[in-house]
Parts: sequence; C-alpha cells; structure tokens
Amino acid sequence: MSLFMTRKATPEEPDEVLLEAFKKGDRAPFLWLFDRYRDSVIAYVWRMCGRRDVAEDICIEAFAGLVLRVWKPEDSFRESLTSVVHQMCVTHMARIANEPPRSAGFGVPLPGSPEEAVDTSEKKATELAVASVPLGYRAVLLLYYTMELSLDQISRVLACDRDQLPLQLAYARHLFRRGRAL
Amino acid sequence: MSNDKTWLGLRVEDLSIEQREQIANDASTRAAHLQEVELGRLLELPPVVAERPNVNDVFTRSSYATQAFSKLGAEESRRSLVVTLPLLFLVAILWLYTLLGEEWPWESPNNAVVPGGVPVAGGGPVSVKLDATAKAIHGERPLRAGSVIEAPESLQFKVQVTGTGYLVILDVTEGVQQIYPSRDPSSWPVTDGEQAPDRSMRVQRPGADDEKVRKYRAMLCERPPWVVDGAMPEGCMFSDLVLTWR
Repeated sequence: MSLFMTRKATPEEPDEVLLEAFKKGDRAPFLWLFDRYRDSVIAYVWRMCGRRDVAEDICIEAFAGLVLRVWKPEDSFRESLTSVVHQMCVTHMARIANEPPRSAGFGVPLPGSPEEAVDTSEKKATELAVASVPLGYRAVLLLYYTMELSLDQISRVLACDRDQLPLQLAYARHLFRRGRAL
Repeated sequence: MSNDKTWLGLRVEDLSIEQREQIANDASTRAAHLQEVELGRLLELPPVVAERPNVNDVFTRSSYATQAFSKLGAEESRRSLVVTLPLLFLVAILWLYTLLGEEWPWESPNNAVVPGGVPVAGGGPVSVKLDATAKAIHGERPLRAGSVIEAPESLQFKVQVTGTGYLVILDVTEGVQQIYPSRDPSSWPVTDGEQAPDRSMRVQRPGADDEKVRKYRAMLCERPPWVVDGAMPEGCMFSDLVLTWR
C-alpha cells in the first residue's frame, strides 16, 4: 500500500481544487464545476442577450474552451469564467447590433426571451423588469446577484471604478423595482 | 433615489465595518437593507431550470473542435503541397529560360504578363492609413496611437486607401503575422476610399503571457503581398498603429 494516499476531490470542494483535479485527468470534478455554474451562466447571458439558444450556446462554448485550454482561469475561477462569458455575450451583441430586431407585437414577449419562457405572472414580472433595465446597469445587477461576483471582481470584469459600483447597483435595483411595479 | 445609503442590499463581504454595525444596531436600516437583499434574490435563479445543457454537450463540442483543428492541419499540409509543386515547376521553367538565353516575357514592352499576381488597374498604391475603433455594449469609440482597449471592448479596423492595390492587415509585434485576410493576400483588392474587414475578422485579445502592447500594420501593395517566413514584401506602403490591451 502506498504511503502517500491521494485524496479524491468531492463535489463540495472549492472551484480551484476541482479544477486542479480535472487537470490531473479526473472528469468528475469538471462535471461538478459545470453543475455549479451552468444555471447562473445561462441566466446571466439569457437576461443580457434575451435569447435562450444563445445563452446555452455560450455556456457550452465557455466550458468547451476550458477543456481545450483556449482560456485559463486565473486566481478566481468564478471571476475568470464570468469574464469569458461576459466577453462572449458582448461579442454576440455587437455582431447582431446591425441586424433588424426580431418581430413581435407591442407588449408581446419576443420568442426565446426569458419573459416568454416563464410560466407564472410573478416570474414574468421579474423577467420583464430585468429586460427594462438598460444594458449597462443590467450587467452590474446580474453580475452581482446572478453571478454573485464581489464589487472588486465586477470592477475588474467591466473595467470600471469600484467606488462607483454601489451607486450604480443601487440605481439598477431602483430601475428593476420600478419595472416590477409597472 | 438618495445617494447616502447606496450600500444597502450589498453582501456582507462588500460592506465596511461601520455599515455592518449600522445594520445591526438600527432597526429601520436593517429593514431597508433586508428589503434590498430580498429584491436581489429574485435574480439568483435562471428564468427556467428544466432541459438545460449537460456536460456531454461540452465534451461533444470540444471534441468537434479538436477534430476541426486536426482536419485544418491536414488541409494545411495538402495546401502547402499545392503551393510547393507549382513553385518547383516555375523554378524549373526559369532555369530553362536562363539556359536557353531567352528574353523574359515581362521584359518585352508589349507583353502584359506580370509575375507574382494579376496587376491592378488604376495606377497602384498612393497612400494608406490605418484607423481603429473599440466596440462595446454602450457603443464605439475611435482609438488613437497608444490608446488602451478595455476588457469588455473588441477591436475593429478601418483603412483609408488612396490609389489601388491589395490590402492586408498584419500584427508586427513579434515577427509578422497576417490577421486579415486570414489566408490569401490576393483576396482583398481595394480602390480609393475607406476599407473595413468583413465580420469574419476578430482580433484576438492577447493571452495572459502575451505582449499587451501590440503593433498593427495596414499594408497596401501593387501585387498580392505574400509574407514568407516573416519577411516583409518590397515595394509596399504601410501605416502602423500601436495599441495596448488591458
């Protein structure tokens, strides 16, 4: 029996431990990492871009990029992943900027949008309110509450002043609350 | 909305000690803080949690990408053969001409054949100037020499051309790397006016270990400028732009 027993990673381990175990050839930690972030990544991109298919595609693409080492996580896996996902989201939005908007009647949710997908009026109110927040404020709101980044991490992902973020976040919440009240 | 308590609704790790004490000691502040926290909680979950992609989708996507890269490599080697064989043939013809002491076809004033590519009508290159813009969600901004491209922005080029010729965009920071057109330099013939690469072009953000200050070059040549082993072709005009990636 070997004197040096290698401890197996468990699903509750921190991101960096799972990542290290995956690098050593164990696939299970990658599955746990994916499960840990999939929903929040999809929620973030879906609410930013308004398209479920794009959100799922970016989620798969970001994790496939990790497998292929197209990008390498730095100190915080959560921050690095969010940065990649945000960049892909911005690139997508820049690419479709000149395309004509998908048609839908006044007040009718666009096909594939979060507000069209939800089943209760409570959830619909939430998604409509998110969609009413301008993109810059929406990014701050979602990075904080959906991706659960700290203010320091958001300032690095968006390359903006950290001291301005509490005010921007408060205003984003104000817009979100106002959207829900309508 | 007042600016004095913008920290309400933040997580504990983002609050200062004084702010935490205020929440703990003041009931009305605590109530307002919890109300903001509850509002934020509405955003924690995705709109729908059924039928999500699974980890197999990720591995399938990555294996497709690996296959695509390897096919690309095989295609590259086939393509290099396609280029090498005609070149050898051309060298053999030139050698034969030298031996026979014949006059080169393009030395004859009445002959229209030009070596190295199809000549461009209209007098050739006169001037070239490379400009760039940074694009983000909120819009775009022009970049000058030495400008910084921030993390969420992407880089787009525009080239002002006077005259005619073949245009390429290069990254000349470390050696010479052609970034547009991606392969054949004869595929971007231009005439007077503003030129922009099509949407297939994406300038890659430098990796963590790469040089962040990059020198880009627009080069306008009378004939398609094949860059061989990093050496710049002769008889071309160029314009450089140095940009810094954050």
